[in-house]
Amino acid sequence: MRGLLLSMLISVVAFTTGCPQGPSKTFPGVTNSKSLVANMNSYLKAAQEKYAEALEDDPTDAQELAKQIRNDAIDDALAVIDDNYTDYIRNIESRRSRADFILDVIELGAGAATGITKGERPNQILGIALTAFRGGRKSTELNFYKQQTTPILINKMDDNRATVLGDILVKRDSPVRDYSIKAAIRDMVSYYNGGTLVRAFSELSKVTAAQALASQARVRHLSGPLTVSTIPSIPVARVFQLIDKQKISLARQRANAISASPPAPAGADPGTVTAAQALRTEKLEPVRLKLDTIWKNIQSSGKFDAAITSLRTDAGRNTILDNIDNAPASVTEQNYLTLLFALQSALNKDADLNRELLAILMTANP
Amino acid sequence: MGEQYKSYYPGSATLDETCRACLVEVLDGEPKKLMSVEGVIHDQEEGVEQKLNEATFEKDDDPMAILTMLNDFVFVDVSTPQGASDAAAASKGSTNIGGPGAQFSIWIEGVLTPVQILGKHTE
Repeated sequence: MRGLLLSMLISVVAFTTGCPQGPSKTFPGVTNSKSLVANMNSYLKAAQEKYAEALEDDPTDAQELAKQIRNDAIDDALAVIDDNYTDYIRNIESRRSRADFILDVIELGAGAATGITKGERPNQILGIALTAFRGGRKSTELNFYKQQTTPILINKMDDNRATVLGDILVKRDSPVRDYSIKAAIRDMVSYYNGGTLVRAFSELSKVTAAQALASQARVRHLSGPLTVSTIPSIPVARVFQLIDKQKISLARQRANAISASPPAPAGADPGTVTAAQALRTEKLEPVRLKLDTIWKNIQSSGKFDAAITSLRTDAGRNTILDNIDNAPASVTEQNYLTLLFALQSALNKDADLNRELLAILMTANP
Repeated sequence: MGEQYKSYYPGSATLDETCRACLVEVLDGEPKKLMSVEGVIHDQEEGVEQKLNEATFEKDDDPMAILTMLNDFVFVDVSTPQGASDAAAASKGSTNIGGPGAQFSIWIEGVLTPVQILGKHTE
């Protein structure tokens, strides 16, 4: 009984004052964080060797000795990391923080790599180290503490650490075949790095980017009655393309006629002005005749009556329609084009009427 | 600047179908520009939601504007590197609707997808 009590006392003392075999942040004679990294690597290396020996003796780990070694290593490392983190946060909050904690990201990663590789999984751990190194270099260029971001960063670091810790606690119950000490070391490195400004910044950056994407993906909601148009078939679309070519052709003919008959220069004598006007009329005559024919055929067809009637609701178009009936000479090519385009709109994309219109256009403008 | 108006097309349509619908709208009647196409959700009665693509057009009152209006469109799904590459290749000689590099989130068969719209004028 005394022996048992003595054992318990020793255990309690060991757990409450720090594991004597584990890394100590207050390594005698050295107080900077490099001692932490060195001790951590040394401790993890020793734990890994013990773990390997235990597995060599009992490959299936039926006695769960290797698992115990692994879990002890996790507990010890977490305790030291937490202790270090608490000091660090206190320093940040009191604005007395030093940059060397940031550099720990590099050193722990690189140290872990040298301590545990032995030819197995070196790339993964080194990858962590290299990522952290890049982040570390970048972070040194930032003036963290002049910005009013400390609480946000601390919250993010807490969040990072809690996420990794949650994973570790779940895996902690796994047998060694599912969760090796190498994987545990990797998680401890992640846990440590999670409590650094480098990781806080990078994680915040990821979250911000994700939120930006989510915002982009946020779709506007509309309410009230809406008219949803049907998707036109390929043949119908083809009809519209052919009508468009006709419309462009007629407009192009007008544009070419105007280009070919420039107005008389300012201040020209009346004879020159008259001649220029006569030339333009002459040049425009072919397209004018086409447009006149097209409109007459539209009116005589009888199929477009409803559309023509609807055009009269617009004052400008009503005037053009009246002029076509009463003073055709005053109707310009531009008037005809305006009317023709408006008429097509008034057909409400009716496929048959658009085909009919296309036929009329192609007959007059082959 | 002429009158702007919007048309709505089913979000269940394919990209080609939405492109075709916008093309027909541009070609129909007065000259007009395709300004944008965006996926929206229409909250109907009884809590039913309908995915729609909202296309915005701008009319030009001058019929001669038809000589310069974009009347040939390509909608490119740029959600994949291949799509982005295709858009870059197709962009030569075309105008990117919405400005250089602009993308629109459009429903393609019910899935919101980034799309670049390239247009050109052909006679």
